[in-house]
Amino acid sequence: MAVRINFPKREIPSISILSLANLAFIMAVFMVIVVKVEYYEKSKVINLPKLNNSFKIPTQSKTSTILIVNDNEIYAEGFKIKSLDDLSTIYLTKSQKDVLILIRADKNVRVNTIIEIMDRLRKIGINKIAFITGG
Amino acid sequence: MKIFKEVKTIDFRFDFVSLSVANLSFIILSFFALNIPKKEKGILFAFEKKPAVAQLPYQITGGSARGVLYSYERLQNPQEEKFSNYIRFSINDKGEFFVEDEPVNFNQIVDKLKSYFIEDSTKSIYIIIHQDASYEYLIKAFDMTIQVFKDLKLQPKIFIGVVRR
Repeated sequence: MAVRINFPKREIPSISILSLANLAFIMAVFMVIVVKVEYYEKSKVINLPKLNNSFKIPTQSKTSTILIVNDNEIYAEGFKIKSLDDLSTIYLTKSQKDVLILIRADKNVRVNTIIEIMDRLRKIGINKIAFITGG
Repeated sequence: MKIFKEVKTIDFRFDFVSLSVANLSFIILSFFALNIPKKEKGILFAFEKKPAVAQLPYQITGGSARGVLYSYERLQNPQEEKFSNYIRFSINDKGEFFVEDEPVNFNQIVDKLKSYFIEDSTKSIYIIIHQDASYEYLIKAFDMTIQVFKDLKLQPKIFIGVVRR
């Protein structure tokens, strides 16, 4: 007479892929925040020129800020650019051409840098630019 | 023992769900927090495709003022440009201001510019700034120009040039 032993069923071990996705998301967000924090820290450092007759810049959905900390340190879309040619790469897409570019520049930046940036933007078809001032 | 197991299972699921919800909320909040548009102040320019004058390629509008922005390449010899009837408002690399090539005290610039516009309101203004001057001086020049336009209720054209030496 055979003896039947009922072993308890073992659960098949598995790894939840959801946790992995969560972790990936958190890491991605963390990286974005780190980059943005660096950018915001830099934006606090700059001294905006003051303007008595300033206008409110109308809010529009597509805006992009170019931050000019000094003549050699320029950020576009939150990322540091190596040369002004990078501006073409960033803004060349069709959807980016309707964008309003906000130029936040330190008051001690050379005019040459500002004009060169404006020229690059105009050449790639961006026609709305605003100088952000402190006043 | 049975009750204990059930409670443990429920706790675990609850934690897992709340963790996911918290994660998702965190991601959504971060996304919105990083993209909140700020209310900014400044000067707005819009390049217009249609040139104001035949020789002048780019027209801009700035605040209450309208003007023409030259490309960097064209500005190297501003004297060669073929337009006239403008008031020269210059700034050198030391931040000294000149109206019609005469040095002017900072506090007297607005009055000086006004006197020229009262004489002939059809004139334009040509801001000529040295490439090594700081951006602050360009903004100051705009500020004073806009002040003149506001006071006299005029909308003359502004030409902007950069001198390269």
